[in-house]
Parts: sequence; C-alpha cells; structure tokens
Amino acid sequence: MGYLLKTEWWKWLCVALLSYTVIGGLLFPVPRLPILNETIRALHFHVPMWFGMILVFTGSVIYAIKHLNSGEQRYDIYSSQLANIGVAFGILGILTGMIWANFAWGEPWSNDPKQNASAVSLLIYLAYFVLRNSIKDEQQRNRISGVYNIFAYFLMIPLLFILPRMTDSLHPGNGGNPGFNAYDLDSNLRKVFYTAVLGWTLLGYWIATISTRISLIQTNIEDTD
Amino acid sequence: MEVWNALFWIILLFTAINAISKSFIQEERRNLYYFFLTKPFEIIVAKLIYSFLYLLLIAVISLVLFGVLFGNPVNNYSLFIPNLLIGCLGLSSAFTMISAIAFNTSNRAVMMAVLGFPVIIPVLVLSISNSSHILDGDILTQIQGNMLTLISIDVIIIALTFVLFPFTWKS
Repeated sequence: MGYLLKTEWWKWLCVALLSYTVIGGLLFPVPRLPILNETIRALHFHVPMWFGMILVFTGSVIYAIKHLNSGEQRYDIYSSQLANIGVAFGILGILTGMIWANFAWGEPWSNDPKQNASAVSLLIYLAYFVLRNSIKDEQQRNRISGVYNIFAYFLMIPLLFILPRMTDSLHPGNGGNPGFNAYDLDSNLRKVFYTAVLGWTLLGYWIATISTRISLIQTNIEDTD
Repeated sequence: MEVWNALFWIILLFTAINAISKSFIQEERRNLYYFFLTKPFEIIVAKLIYSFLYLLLIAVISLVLFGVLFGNPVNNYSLFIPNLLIGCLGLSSAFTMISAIAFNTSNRAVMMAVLGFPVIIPVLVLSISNSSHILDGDILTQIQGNMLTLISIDVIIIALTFVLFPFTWKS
C-alpha cells in the first residue's frame, strides 16, 4: 500500500483520465448519424492512438538529435525505446481504424490513401529496427540508426499529413470530408476526446519510462560483465 | 496510358535503387583516401550531382526505349520534362542518403531496398500522379499544388542529406 501512495501524481491522473475515457466513451450520448451510428465512439479510441504515435515519434527524433550531438548512449536508448512504443501505438491505431472501417466503409481495408500512408509509416519504423539489428558495432549502430530515424521522420510527416489531403480519401477530415467537429454540436464528444488524447499520451509516456529503465539496466549489466 | 506511366516510373525506381546503391559501395577502397583528402560536405555535393545526372541519363534512355517499344503517349513535353526532373532529383537524392546509411551495414544490397522503399513513397506517389495527370492532358494550374509539394519534399530531402551525411561519414 505504501508504494501506491508514493506513486507519482501523473500516474494517478493517467488512470483517472483513461477510466473516464472508457466509461464516458462507451456510455455518454453521441449524435445519431446515418451509417456512422454508434461507431462514432471509435473517435475516442482510434484518433488518440495517432496523436500518441506522432508525439512519441517526435520525442524519439529529439533524442536521436541529442544523441548525434553528444554521442551519449543514454539518449540512443531513449530514442529507440520511444520508437518501439510509437510502433505499438501505430499498430493499435491501424487495428482500431480497421474495426471502424469494417462498419463505416464496408470492409476493413479499402486501400484508402490514409490507410496506405499509415501502413507505410509503420514500415519505415520497422525498417529502423531491421537497421539496428544489422550493424554489429554498437557506437556505429547508435549513430547510423539515429541518422535514419531523423531522415525517416521528416519524410513521414508529408506522407501522413499532406498526401492524403491532396487526393480523394474516404477518411473523415480528408479529401473534403468533414471531421468530427462538424457533428459535435453539443460538445459531448469533445469532452471525452480531449481527455482521451491526454490519457493515452500519458500512458505512452508511462510505458516509455519503464521500458527505458529496463533497457538502461540491461546495458549496465552487459557493460559490467 | 495508365499502364505506360506506372511501368515507366516503376522501372525508373528499380534502376535508381540498383544504380545509386553502387555510389558508395563501388568506391569502398577509395573511401579512406577521400576521408583524408576532402570534407564530407564536398563528398555529398559531388555524390548528389553525380547520382542526379546518372539517373537522368537512365530516364532519357528508358524514355527513348519506351517510345520505340510501347509508343509514346507524351504530348506535353513542357510539363512532362520538368516533372521528370523534379521526380528524378527526389529519387536520386533520397537514395544517395539511404546508400550512405546502408553502406555501414553488413548486408548492403538488402538494406538499401528495405530502408529505401518506405522512405521514397511520398516522392514516387506524387510524381506518378503528376505524370498521369499530364498524360491525361491537364495544364499547369491543375497540378500546381502537387508540383509544389513535390519540390518542397525534394528540398527537405536535400537539406536533411546535407545535415545528416557527416554523421554517417565519421566511421
């Protein structure tokens, strides 16, 4: 029990926000719309995944830049662990999107530009892990993977945010489709949505602190052996 | 026409991968010499210019060959050629950077494809869609937005290459 009281405050905040998101996201009234119906609730579980992914990848790039500047191994561990979590968020985002698309578009994968772009951006980061495993020398591995991380991140941004907007996309908010703002007349969706974004991002940060700590301990053990 | 366009760019993509992946690997024995003789900035400028001209030569050859074998649907060269130039610039500079990264790995040819394909998608998608619009007879004002995006992606790639290349060169 003593441990629970000593836990940092934002961990409690994260639990509270996510409980509110799950309960409110599933039970609060939502606008009745043709085709969408109840599937509009996917907003609270699908969109925050991409917010989380982008934030986590941005953190990963910042640490990659720091690593290239200073050469400290610690920063490389932060960078690669954040990329790990970003990929997890991205996979969850694609899966929740496919569940929603199965109802709203009639099939889970319809080769929509937005779907393809998100799949490609996941491929970029999977290639990053392949790259990390294919270099033996540790310092060289850290530096080269940092370079690729930065290069890939700045090419992923136009892929996810500019290209799908320029072509015909079925995805809400793209290709002339209205985003959720147009339906959210009584601001009920917004209340849960912003909580959800904050909650899922905090959860990602929480996982990141744990996984970097594990990774740091592992490298320390390897160094002392 | 759609098939012609897609085939043309896909062939350009694959020749680009194979041609430009050589640009560092081919000169492996000379790298140490370069390392002491010049600055990384000079090396990357030279590599970028060389691979751009090389890819352009390949593009011209394949355009001629396509014209002989499949016929030539291009009727608006004043738009097709600039789009080809911008697309080739993007392909060649991105693959130059990727080959500098892949040069440090143990399995260079495979890593070149694994790292290169996802990164090149934005350039490829934009240049293919531009060129298919041009073949359909669209004029400049209709594809202006796409063209500007493609140019800005090229600028991003080249700027990142200048900043990041010295870090791959230090080994």
